[in-house]
Amino acid sequence: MDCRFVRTTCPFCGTGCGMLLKVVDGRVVDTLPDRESVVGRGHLCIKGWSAHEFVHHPDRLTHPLVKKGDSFERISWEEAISLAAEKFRGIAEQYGNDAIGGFSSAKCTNEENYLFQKLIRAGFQNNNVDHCARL
Amino acid sequence: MKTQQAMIDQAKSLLKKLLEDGEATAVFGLARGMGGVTAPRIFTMPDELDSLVLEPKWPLAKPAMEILRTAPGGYRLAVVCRGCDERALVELIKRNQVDADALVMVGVACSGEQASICLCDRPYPSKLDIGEAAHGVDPFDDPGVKYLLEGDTHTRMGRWERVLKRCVKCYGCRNSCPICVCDPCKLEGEPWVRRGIIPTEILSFHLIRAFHLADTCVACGACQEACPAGIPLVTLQHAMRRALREGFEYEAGLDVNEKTPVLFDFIQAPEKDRPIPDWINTLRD
Ligand code: SF4
Ligand code: SF4
Ligand code: SF4
Ligand code: SF4
Repeated sequence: MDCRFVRTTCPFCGTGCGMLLKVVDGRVVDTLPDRESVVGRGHLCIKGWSAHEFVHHPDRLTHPLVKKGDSFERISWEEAISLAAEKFRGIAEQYGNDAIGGFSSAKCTNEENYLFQKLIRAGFQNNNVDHCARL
Repeated sequence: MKTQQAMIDQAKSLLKKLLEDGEATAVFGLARGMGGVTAPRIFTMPDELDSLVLEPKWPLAKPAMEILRTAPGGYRLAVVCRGCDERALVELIKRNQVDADALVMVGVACSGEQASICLCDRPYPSKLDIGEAAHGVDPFDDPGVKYLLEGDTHTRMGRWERVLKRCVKCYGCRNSCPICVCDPCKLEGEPWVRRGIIPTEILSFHLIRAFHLADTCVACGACQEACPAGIPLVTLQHAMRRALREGFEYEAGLDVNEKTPVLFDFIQAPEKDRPIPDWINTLRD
């Protein structure tokens, strides 16, 4: 049995409490608060305590799906990105750039959020960008 | 008093020997890793023990129990135990949560300073392998503990409600407590606690936990240390532990063969000729 405690940061909000993931034979099975973390100082909220649960969850989305009729079908990343680009372009052409905005997530990393605002500002050319923590 | 380094050296050689002699499949303790940060670690090779440290306090009884639950047959885990880790593991053995044969406890003494932080009256394990026992602290001398446990029912109730109101229902106290192992947990559903509602039912949530642990809490402080709201949870447990001590001359975690009086005193009491303890009446004032 290979069991280790891997130090990481809680992905659920901007606070960024330190946590240890318990990994047994390559699977994430538990979360413990990191008592050495200067942010959380050994504390987590209920989201942090449950952070390992989604990792191997059977309902987790692991590939893009497109809705056809009443059901979802699996498509490739290539197809998904082309489809999204095509739809966004269509909306922008019909209603103008301001018709598009984006809500990012506190669950993303700083870098992902940077790229997201860049997509909205440089790509869609507006400032309609916000995040879930303000909702 | 031995220096910290001497204690670490002694622990390393003792634990290395356990691995080399095949007395233990693995050692569970603390390691100093990248950037000088400490975290629990399972050591399987003697050389890995070079990164072993003994500080800071990091309650290991619950994770040790969980490791043993999923371990393959024949696995023996040596656990570096502070006094409260040992006492928690003793309680878990009593409740058939840990197989005593799969466990090797290596006892480490806490410093007097740690005892004052924990308000611990027994800062050492019964089987002390490393370090020297420091003097314990009487938790009831602490002004914070006095404030919450003294005064009439109305005053105490008001004070407790004020601190318990801060609870964010994170379940950190339940998750960290080495002895909180019930499945399903009474704090997770009707009729006592409604799921997904904050603030929680102050009295049922906290008093159910306090009473469920009344005869088994070892005052390790893990619940309180995990509480993001800074609620002095161990103070509730100190009161319960004192009641058990005064009413039944019983303390949790000291002896694997001693059964809890809450379940067994009706069998044991007649021969001991004990009256109903006074504290049972304290809520009447
Ligand atoms: S544990 Fe809670 S407060 Fe801490 S980062 Fe995660 S979601 Fe935020
Ligand atoms: S509660 Fe006692 S035994 Fe446990 S860490 Fe604190 S001082 Fe040590
Ligand atoms: S002090 Fe808290 S965490 Fe430790 S045994 Fe008692 S209730 Fe559980
Ligand atoms: S750890 Fe503190 S805040 Fe969290 S549920 Fe327990 S008492 Fe409430």
